[in-house]
Amino acid sequence: MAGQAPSVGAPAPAQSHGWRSSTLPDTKLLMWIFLASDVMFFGTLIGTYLIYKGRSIVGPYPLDVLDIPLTTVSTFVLLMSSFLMVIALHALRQGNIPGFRLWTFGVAFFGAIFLGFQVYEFRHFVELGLTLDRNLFGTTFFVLTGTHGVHVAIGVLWLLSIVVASYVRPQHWQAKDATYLEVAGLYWHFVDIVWIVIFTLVYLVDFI
Amino acid sequence: MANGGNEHKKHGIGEYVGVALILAVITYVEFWIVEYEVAWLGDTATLWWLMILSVVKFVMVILFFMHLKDDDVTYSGFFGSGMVIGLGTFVAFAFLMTAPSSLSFVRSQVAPEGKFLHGEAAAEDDHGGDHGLDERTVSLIESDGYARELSAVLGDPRPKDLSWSVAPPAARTEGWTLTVAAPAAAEGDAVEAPAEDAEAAPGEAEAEADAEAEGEGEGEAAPPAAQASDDAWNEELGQQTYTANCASCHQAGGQGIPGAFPPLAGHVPELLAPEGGRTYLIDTLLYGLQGQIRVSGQTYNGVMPAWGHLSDEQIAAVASFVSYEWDNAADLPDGFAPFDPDEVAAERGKGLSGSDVNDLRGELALP
Repeated sequence: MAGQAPSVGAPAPAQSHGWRSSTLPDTKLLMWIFLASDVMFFGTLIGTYLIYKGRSIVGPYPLDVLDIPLTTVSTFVLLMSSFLMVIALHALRQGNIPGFRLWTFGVAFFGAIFLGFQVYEFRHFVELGLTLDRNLFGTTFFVLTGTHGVHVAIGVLWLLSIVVASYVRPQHWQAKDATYLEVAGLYWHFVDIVWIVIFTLVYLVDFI
Repeated sequence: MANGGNEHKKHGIGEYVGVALILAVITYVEFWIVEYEVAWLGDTATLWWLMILSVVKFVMVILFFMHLKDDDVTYSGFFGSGMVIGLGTFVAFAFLMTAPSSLSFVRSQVAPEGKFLHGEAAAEDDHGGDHGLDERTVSLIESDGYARELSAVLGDPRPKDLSWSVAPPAARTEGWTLTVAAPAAAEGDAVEAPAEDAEAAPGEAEAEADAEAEGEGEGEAAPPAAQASDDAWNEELGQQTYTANCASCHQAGGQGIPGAFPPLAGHVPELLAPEGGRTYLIDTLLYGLQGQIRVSGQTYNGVMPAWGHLSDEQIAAVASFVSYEWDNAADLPDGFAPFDPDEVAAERGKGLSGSDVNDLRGELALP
């Protein structure tokens, strides 16, 4: 026993705590750190949009193309998907596996509807002559909302893969594993709050 | 895990439903404020309310759906740091971008007025009364044509319906004159006609939003039909079209801005000399130009917008104008004839992109 300890490098009790002072789950902490970096990423994109706002020298301008009723509906869909996300997490924590699967699928489904709205919107804008290289508005708008759309798409794939995994390996998706769903949920809610900001600063403010 | 156990006891379904309802109601209120412009709420107050409502939604999702309200403060610390750095970057960036550039500072030293741009409301302007438009005339001491100077005049967000026109100085000591016409009272619905309708706009008192880009204010309305001239080409229309649309980048003297906008003076004859140069010039006007080009030993890598919404007559006139103006006439190839609107019409419908036009440029044997 005395000979083994040096080869391991540290006594067993110390190793179980390691150097860490935190007992927080790694996955969740890492997700929050990632979200902090993503805040800066979106902050830059939104800032770029705002700074170049009103500086396009050719149309179409925001007022020519943006559609508030349509975007309000898609904003509502995304908000409600966040609601389903907490319901799904709640169900999993209660051990309600069918509920967890249903609501998680619901989140992905609502996310897909939001993406459908965005695809429709982008196609419509291109028909109106607003392309990525048309003017400063087109460039900053498509890069900002497109990056957000990519985040939504990744979230949809992530949540669908969780639903599939819960069938393939049900033993890994029980109440004790709720942290993994919570982490996906944090990502999803973050995508939602970014949209809350975009909806106000990019869409609503133009129509005052 | 014991911690997690406490967590989910605190968050009942009822709390989630309540938060979701509030979020839905706030979203509807935001929509309502904007869609049915609330008259008693001024623009500034509306803006503030929208910001506040958006922050409330943002905070509610973070606190209740992302559980920061009860969760370990470490998470809030990380996320808060990200927010602070992100916002700080935005503030610094916004400050840098809106601070007067060193260029305009130099110019303000030159101009005795001490301002890059100065202007006065001219309510008694003779156009003002006719159409219920609020018209302002502004002198641009020197303009580099960027819309940031315009937005300083027009306010931001810019009025929904307005038109502007730019007139060159009558004498060397005078500045450029910018005439802005906007509806006296803001109107309700905001969705404007798409850019394709632009050709219908010239000459109308309430120019559409896209007429603003063309600079076709009602002050210089020139119905294309009236321009079907007996002359070989319409110099007046060419001059007008150039001043309204091209001069902000290529400058009144056609010298451009080195490194940003290529010169036309001395360069257009180079384009017209090789085979295909004539159609290339028309394509550039109709479809714009994007990508790296070289003019007189200087490299440019920018975008020229497409001007296909101008009429055939305008395109032909402005192409002839830039061919003859600024002593370009002396260098034109033998047998050069002014551009004809039919030539322009023949180039329409090709559906080229700015990059395609640059490819065409590569096929020309340019010096």
